[in-house]
Order: sequence, then structure tokens, then C-alpha cells
Amino acid sequence: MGVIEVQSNGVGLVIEGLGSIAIASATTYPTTANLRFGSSNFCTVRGLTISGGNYNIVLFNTNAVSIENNNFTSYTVRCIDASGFNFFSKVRFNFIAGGADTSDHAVCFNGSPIGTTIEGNTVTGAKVWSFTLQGGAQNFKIINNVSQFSRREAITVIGTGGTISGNILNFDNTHVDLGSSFATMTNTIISNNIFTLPSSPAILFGSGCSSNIVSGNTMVAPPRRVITGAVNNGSGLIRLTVSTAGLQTGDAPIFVNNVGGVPNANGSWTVTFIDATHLDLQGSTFAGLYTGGGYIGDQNWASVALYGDASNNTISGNTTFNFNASAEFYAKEFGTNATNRIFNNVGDPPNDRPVFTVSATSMIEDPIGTTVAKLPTNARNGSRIFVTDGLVGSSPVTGGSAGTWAMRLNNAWRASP
Amino acid sequence: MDFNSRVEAAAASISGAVNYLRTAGYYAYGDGGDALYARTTATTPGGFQSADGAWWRIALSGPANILAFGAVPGDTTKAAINQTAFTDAFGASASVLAPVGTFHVQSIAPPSTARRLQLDADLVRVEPIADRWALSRFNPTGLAL
Repeated sequence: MGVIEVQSNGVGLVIEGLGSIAIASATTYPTTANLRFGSSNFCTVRGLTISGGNYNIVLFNTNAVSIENNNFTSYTVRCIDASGFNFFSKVRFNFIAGGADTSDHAVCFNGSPIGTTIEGNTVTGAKVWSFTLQGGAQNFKIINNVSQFSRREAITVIGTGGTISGNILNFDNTHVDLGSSFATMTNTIISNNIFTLPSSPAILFGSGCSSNIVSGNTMVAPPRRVITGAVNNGSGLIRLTVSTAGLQTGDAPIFVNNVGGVPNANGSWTVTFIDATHLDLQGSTFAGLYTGGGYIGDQNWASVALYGDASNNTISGNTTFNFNASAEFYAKEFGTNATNRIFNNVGDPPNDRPVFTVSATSMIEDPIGTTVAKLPTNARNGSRIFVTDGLVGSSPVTGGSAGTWAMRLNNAWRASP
Repeated sequence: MDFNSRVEAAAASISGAVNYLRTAGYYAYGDGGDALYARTTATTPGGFQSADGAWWRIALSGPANILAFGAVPGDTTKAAINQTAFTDAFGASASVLAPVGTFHVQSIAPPSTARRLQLDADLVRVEPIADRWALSRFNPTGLAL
């Protein structure tokens, strides 16, 4: 039941004004929403301040409902929740804040929403997900939104035929999560978004993603901390000297890379904070003599990760910082990935690679600022790679000069002359 | 013919020559519930029967203001009255105005023909009477103190 309960309205009820709707206690009214629309068409909620309750607005079997220019200040479970069949919904220019610890979504559409537009909203402090379309969304737009400080994915979609563009996503975890283990994500354009500080891939494709375009995004992972020393802490553990600790005791996993002379340091650790420039690696065993190098990354991800059978995707023109690769495929060697194109992405040296692992026919062209191209031995014949700054990697093809090509032929990488 | 309030008009015996009357409030003059009424033949949403037995319907030239239908702001005990006011207002017009003020309600259900709710009011979900004291600490914005 809603404080305002709109049922079977077919003439386009408009609710707007300078007022507010509040529910005193979500505990007292667990099934009460501030506004609920059932089997209604062309309705609009505009300009209100809405607070309290488990749900602020609930849609069930609606057509062309618009929720716009509202100020949502608190909710316990979901701010906007849509289930059943909802067509051509518009959630635009709202300010959504104040999710509770028990909240799971700020905006959530279930049940195969079609033609959903989520535009120009600001979501701050969503405790789990900011924008979610699931159950097979079709022909959606998620554009020009801001999401910050959510604990999980800023955008989660299972569906096809969408645009995710122009969003600014800050301080979230996995930023864009597309598809799932049992659903596909196809024909969607993800472009011109800005991601900062994700602690996992900025864009994560689930199983069965195809014909998507990931282009023109800026993706920034947490900055690496430079390691300048590795010694025995006196108890046999490895103690790192770092540019700035910036971590707390118990933080994990912390990825340590490229430490010279103390190979045991490289790997995933839980850390103990010593002081502003020293960290101990719990459970480590010191051995060797530090010779230089090394960095700590809060994560060890590609900017774009693709699970399962990924085919015909294009990942191009993105700018990434502090990731380990422009794209990462997890389909294993028997996966059926085919003809993904990864080109013209701008990484940051020295550790970013144009591609982490590839298990299929892939074309990788013109990565900029990446000197390492790890060529997977399980890539299919016909895959090719072109690295502006040369090829270095664990494959048979190493150390090429600028502008080197390699192609996978007869189950081996062949360098260009 | 003018009256201080709808309550006063309902208590009056009005000449059969009068076909319309004006009130300056619902419960008392100046309470915001002023309205124009026209003589009719039966009960209508928001209308009333005067002491002489005549029926009067509210004559609207714009949105139906819930104050003219008996809504009472700022009183946690008036949720039922406020809901009746909303129901009657939507019964009289597809366009309803809830003016500035805090109105306690349980659930408002606009009819399928409703076209507009101008909500300048602050609506606060009120619990059953027995539990209403929990709301007494709410400020006009509806946010918990």
C-alpha cells in the first residue's frame, strides 16, 4: 500500500509540487511505499521530496511512467523499485541519497523492462547498487548519471540493445556489471563514461556477452604505491618500504608486484600497518636481497573483464590508469570467444598490457603506452596483435621493435619480419 | 449569500430563492476552505445539505482544494478526515490541490480518472490512532528529528 496508491490510472495522473511525502517508520510499515503505481499509464511524479519507508516509489505493470526532478532523502530497501512489466519508464534528474545499511538498490527494474530511460540522476551513498536493470532489459538508456560511494556496482544490467553513456561513477566498487552467469549482454554501447577508484574491473561482462562496444571511457584505478625497500621485519616477515602506506592492518587482498631480489614479496597479501611508510606482509617469508622496483596495486584487474563466451565485442579508444590490462578474458582455453577487437586504448606504462589473456581469435591493435603484450598460448589461429611500442611477453614472440605485428598461425605466434 | 463557513451554512435554513452561496472557510472563516456552492438535488462529493433540506454542491473553477473538503493540517488525529477530504476532492474534480501544510494520512487512492495532484503539502504517513504518538516528534518536512 502506498501513502499515495495509484491503481489503474489510464489518463496520466501528474503528481507534482513543492511538497513532500514521508513515512515515519519503515519498521511499522514494512509493506508501505510512499508512492505506488499499479497497472497505470502515462503518470508523472515531479518535484517532490520523498523520504522514509522501505520503498519510496514502487511500479508494477506500468507504461510510460515518469519520475523526475524529485529529491529522495531516505529509504530502507529500495528507492525506486519496478516489477512486473514496465514499459518506457523514465527516471530522470532525481537526487537520491540516504540509503540505509539494509538497502540493496537505489533504482531497480526487474521483469524485462523495455525502453527504460535512467538519465541525469545523482545517486550518492547507495549501500549496494545504484542503477539496476535485470530480467532481460531491452532498449534501455543509462546516461549522464552520477553515482558515488555505492558499495557495489554502480550500474548493473542484464539485457540487450542499450546505451550506457556519459555517466560519472566515483568511488564505487565494480562500476558496470553487465550480464550474468545465466544471461547475455548484447548490442550495448558503453561510451564516454568516467570511472574512478574501482577496486575491481571498471566494466565487467558476465557470461555470453557479444556485439557490445566499449569506447571512449576513462577508467582510473587506485594509484599504485611505489616500493623502495623490502627487508626482514625481525620476525621473518617481509617489511616493505612504500611511498605512502595508505592502508590499514587487515586490508586484503593487497597485490604486490615486481619486487626485485625478494621474489616472495610478489603476490596477494593481508597487510599490517607499521607506520606511514612501512607495511608488513602477513604470513610472508623473507628471503633474498632487495635490488629495486616493485609497486602495490589495490587490485590486479583489467579495466574491462569479460567472462564466458565473449564474441564480436569492440573495446577501443579507452583511457585507463593503474589497471593491469585493457581487457581480460576468462573463458578458459576451451572458450568460444571469437573476433573481439581491442584497439587504440591508452594505457599507462610500465605494467598495463593491452590484453591479459585471450582464448580466442582476437585482434589487438595500437595500444598506446603499453610496452608489454602478453601473448596467450591458447589463442586461436588467426589472432593478431600490434603493439606500437614493441612486443614483450611470455610468448615465443619477444622484444620486437616499435610497430611490430604478431599473428597466431599453426598454433604458434609468428612475429612480423 | 455569504457565510463564515461551510459548517455555518449547513446549519442555516436558506431561502428557496437562493441558488448559490459562498463560504469564507470550511470550519471557520479564513481557514482556507472557502468555496462557492450551487443548489442541486442530491448529495455530491464535497457538497452538503442545509437545515432546510436543500442540497448544495461545490462549484469549482479550478483544482479542488482539499481544505474546502474538510482536510485539517497539522493534526495527527485527523488522518481519516484528511483521507475523506482527498477522496471527495477527487470525486469532485480530476485535479486536486493539497496546499502548503502538513497533512497526516494513511493511504490516498486517486481514482482511475484522476489527472493531477498539485502537492504543495507535506504528507506524513500516520499509524493507527493507538500508535500515533510516534509521529508527534516529526517536523513539517517529514524528517525525523
